Amino acid sequence: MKQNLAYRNLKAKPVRTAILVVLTALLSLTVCGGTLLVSSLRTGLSSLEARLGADIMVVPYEAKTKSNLESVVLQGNPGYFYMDMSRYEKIASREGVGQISAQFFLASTSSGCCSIPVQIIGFDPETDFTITPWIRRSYGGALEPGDIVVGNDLNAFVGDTLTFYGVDCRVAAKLDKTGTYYDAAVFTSVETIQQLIASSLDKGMNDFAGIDPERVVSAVLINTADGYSIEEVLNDINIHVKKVKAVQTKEMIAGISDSLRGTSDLIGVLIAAVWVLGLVILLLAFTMSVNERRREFAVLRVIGASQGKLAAVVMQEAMLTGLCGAGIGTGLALIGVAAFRSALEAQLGLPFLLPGAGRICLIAVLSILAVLIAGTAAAAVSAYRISRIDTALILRGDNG
Amino acid sequence: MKMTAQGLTKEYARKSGNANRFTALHPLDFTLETGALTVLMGRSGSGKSTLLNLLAGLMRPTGGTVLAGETDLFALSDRELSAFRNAHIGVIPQGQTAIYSLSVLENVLLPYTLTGSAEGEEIARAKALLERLDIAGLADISPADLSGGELRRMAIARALVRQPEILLADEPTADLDDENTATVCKALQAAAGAGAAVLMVTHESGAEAYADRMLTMQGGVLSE
Ligand SMILES: Nc1ncnc2c1ncn2[C@@H]1O[C@H](COP(=O)(O)OP(=O)(O)OP(=O)(O)O)[C@@H](O)[C@H]1O
Ligand SMILES: [Mg+2]
Repeated sequence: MKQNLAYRNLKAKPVRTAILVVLTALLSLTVCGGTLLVSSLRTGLSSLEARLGADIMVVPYEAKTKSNLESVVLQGNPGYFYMDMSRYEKIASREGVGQISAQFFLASTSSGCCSIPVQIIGFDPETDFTITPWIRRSYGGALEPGDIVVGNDLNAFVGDTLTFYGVDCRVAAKLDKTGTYYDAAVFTSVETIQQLIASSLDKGMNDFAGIDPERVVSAVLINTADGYSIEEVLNDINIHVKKVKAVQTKEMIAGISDSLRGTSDLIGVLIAAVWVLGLVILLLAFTMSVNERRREFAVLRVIGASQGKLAAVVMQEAMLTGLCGAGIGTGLALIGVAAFRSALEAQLGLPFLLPGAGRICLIAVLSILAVLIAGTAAAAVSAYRISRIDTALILRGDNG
Repeated sequence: MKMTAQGLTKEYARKSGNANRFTALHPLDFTLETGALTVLMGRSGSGKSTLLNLLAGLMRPTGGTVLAGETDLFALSDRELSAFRNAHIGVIPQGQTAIYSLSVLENVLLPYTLTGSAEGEEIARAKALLERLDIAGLADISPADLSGGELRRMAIARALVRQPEILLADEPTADLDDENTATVCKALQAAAGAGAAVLMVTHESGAEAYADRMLTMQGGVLSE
């Protein structure tokens, strides 16, 4: 017959054990949940950065005010602005321009002409360097005329047909989730979008300010050539190309990364506060639970338990409750973040993308470890304090 | 295994009162002989428990040494002293000493299970002890359901179960009726008969009948 004292002690005091389990569960819930939140926001931001994938974006001058650049480009609100193709050619000829590609925006509406109101983004497969790499991950084939690729949030599937301004488009692929507003957009090649633009014009639905629909461009994306700084190229375009506005994409997302930093700092502070509080409570809980049994511990010493043995018993109690609590808390955090992620996304108003499974596992394991170590350390401290007192003094102190 | 104390003394720090140190045990030389039941009597507060706890290595003396056989108790590390006590010294402290998360039988088996495991032979010995102390029927219940006298007998069984060479009992008959007092005294006497060095601290005048040697403590001074 062997006896696991720690286990027996826990079993003998179910209420105390339950309180310890709940406490450690709360600790791990906050640390795991908080870390998941912060890392989802970070992943979302880097996903957004990757989507933009260019140093400079050039848009018609009036876009900054008219349709609000950020609303269209960053928040994905359906909108459009156009300039003539000659602008693109001008920009392409400037010194320091490396990779360059045009994009075309069109907003579908909710009226009878279109299946759904979304932002439609056209790109030129010949030159594109921002959208194609990302589409490649979900779809390997070429986009035939009339083919579209839909964002992950759209309620459409491969093989479906969506109608925009009377033109039937086939869904060729559905993209992976990005956590950005692009999840609600539709992508297509330059030919198809020109067809859509022309068709919308026929229906009298868009204002092109006299520009030939075959020769419109919404935005030009640029990577600078080697040896040129972003500022240099940006200033050069702003000075020498008329009626356009060149902006640094980094600056465009600066607002988002600022509020992301703010949010993750806040979450960090909250985690820290819960931890300080949790550690104090854990320490108190273990000190109380050890103090309550100081006579029992003294009796174990009389029978021949060393200080180390006592510490081992108390630490084992902490480990068992910690493992239970941390398991429950971490599980709840995972389920909670998974279940409420849309709500969180909407609430935070920031790009939000869960990290990969490997990373999630790592976060979960680390949170469990952190709580286990904290609980065991708290237990060790209280056990050490009690075992330093002369056994005889404890025994006479409260002759139970 | 005999026990020898040399120049053993204990002072306590007192929180109030005129003198801030109080000498509970004046330097004493003392030998606890093997194969004998030594009974120590004395008024309350005379220092009996202090001596017993020092002999058990449960607190450090202000001065002097305690030898158990050839082993200097206070020269051992905590781990060594604990292991030594577990193997060689049975202690029955004053007051209640139950571990409430374990059953009565498991309490009695603790000296084994604390460091290893208890198998058929050890369990049989524990059950025989419970039988002899007349609490065999209570083996599987929780100590919380026991009377004071039953708890005391459980503690005695626990101190005896490893058949220690040294047995130190602090008022083991305090809560017991005459019949049970006799049972306990006989058990201690039997242990002495089997070769152990046994010290019993008691107020019980009836204990004299079982004693091989009588000692008295008075104001921290031991006399024959
Ligand atoms: N930790 C302590 N601090 C201060 N004084 C103490 C301490 N422990 C014991 N004493 C004092 O030492 C003296 C001896 O105490 P001890 O417990 O050895 O007496 P005792 O003979 O066992 O008495 P009793 O028969 O009541 O058990 C007492 O006067 C007591 O007040
Ligand atoms: Mg006493």
